[in-house]
Amino acid sequence: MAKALFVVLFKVIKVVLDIFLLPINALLTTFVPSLSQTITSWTNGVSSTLGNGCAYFVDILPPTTQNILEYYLLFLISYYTISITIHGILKVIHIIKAIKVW
Amino acid sequence: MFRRFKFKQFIFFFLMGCVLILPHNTYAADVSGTTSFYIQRSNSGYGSVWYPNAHMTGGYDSGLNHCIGKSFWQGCDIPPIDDNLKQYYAITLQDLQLSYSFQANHVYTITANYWVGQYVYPDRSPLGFPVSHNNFGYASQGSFTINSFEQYDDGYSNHKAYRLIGTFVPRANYNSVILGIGNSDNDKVIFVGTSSTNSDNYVLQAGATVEESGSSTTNIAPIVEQQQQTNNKIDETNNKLNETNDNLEDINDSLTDETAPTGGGGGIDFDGFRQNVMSNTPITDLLTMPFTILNTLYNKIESESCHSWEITDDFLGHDLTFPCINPQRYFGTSIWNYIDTITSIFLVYQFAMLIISAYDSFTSLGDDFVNLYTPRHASNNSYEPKHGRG
Repeated sequence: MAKALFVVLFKVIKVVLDIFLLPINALLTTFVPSLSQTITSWTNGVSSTLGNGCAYFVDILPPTTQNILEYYLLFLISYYTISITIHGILKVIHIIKAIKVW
Repeated sequence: MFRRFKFKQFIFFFLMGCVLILPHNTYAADVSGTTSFYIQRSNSGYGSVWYPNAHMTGGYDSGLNHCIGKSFWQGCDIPPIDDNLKQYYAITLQDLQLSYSFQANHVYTITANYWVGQYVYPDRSPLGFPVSHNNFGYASQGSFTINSFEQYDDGYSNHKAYRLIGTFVPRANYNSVILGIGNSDNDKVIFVGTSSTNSDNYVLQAGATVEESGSSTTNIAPIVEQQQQTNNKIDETNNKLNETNDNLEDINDSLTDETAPTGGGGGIDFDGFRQNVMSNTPITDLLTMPFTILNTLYNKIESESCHSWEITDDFLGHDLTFPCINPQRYFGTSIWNYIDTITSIFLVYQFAMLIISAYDSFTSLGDDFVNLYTPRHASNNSYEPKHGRG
């Protein structure tokens, strides 16, 4: 359950970020392909190592604690995602209002 | 204030209740059941055989002469009692067949309880617990480790009770094993009878339970070796593929140079560009790396298997492997459940505090949303900044 919710959240965040970062990704991929590949391989290596490491230590924890920890992390991610998004939107609206073009 | 306090209480106790209701022994889902056997020495000799230990001639009593000459499996009658002499007896329980679906490289905790006569005690300590799937080939069918052997008080004064807890890791899948009680040398327990007037004191009863407690990595050496061989083959194949690809690229380059049109330009490959941009998103991958880490974490936790952690030589210069750790084996089920309960309650408390903090944070956003739109006719309200006045 927690994993399914997390996967949905992850995909939504990735799609939104992809849309916003499309120009930067395109620039990097087109003009600096080697840097793009380096960033991708570094990201994959670090995420794989850290993910497996975290999983190794979480696996030592008792089973019920593991289950609660899954939901705790999911809630934490959701909370910060929503919070940062709302604050970002508010900030943008305040900036637009401060321009007073209209 | 009162409403918030009630809300906090509600959240906290609700989550506490959830934790207490949740089943604590998740690993028990792996356990397909426990089984036990029970044996009591009988005159027929089935299941247990008393016989004099020929190697202990020093205490050898002539009263056991009626056992001499009989084969090992024929057994003897109840040993005679002689109050004046120490008597040495050996007992073996090789015929105890424990029917259980043992899986290779899984860890099974076997707990055996013994009851022996009040004036009888094991000569050797600790006892061994050889395991076999037939009458031959003890111990080669798996590894057995004694975790504890102790005498305990079971509330009866007319006998002594011993408890042996061991860990069995079979090398192959077995539907049943033959358990023998004895030391690791010759599969028997030597008992010394000191003084007795009652033959019942020599009666031995044994009961045992088996429980699966997870998988083991103690016997993965052949698998690792095979994996290494497979990896070497894959490396060789990849090297050959790379060489072939290089050759192909050279050929393609030479062909392009010779066959490229000299007139118009090649144009812009929009499809290739779009595909390249959509598939390669390095900055997005970098920003979503924490989520990727958590995704890996969730996948590993959901797999519900004890796994090791291997750091490749990309970071250290050599491979570093942390073995699988199953703390339940060391703490025992009861203590592990207590630890589970305590840590769960602590985590639920933290969870509840986070929920309350999030609730406060989101409710405080209301003022910001109110400020987002200010109607013109309400320009003198309290939210509008008053420039140039008073």
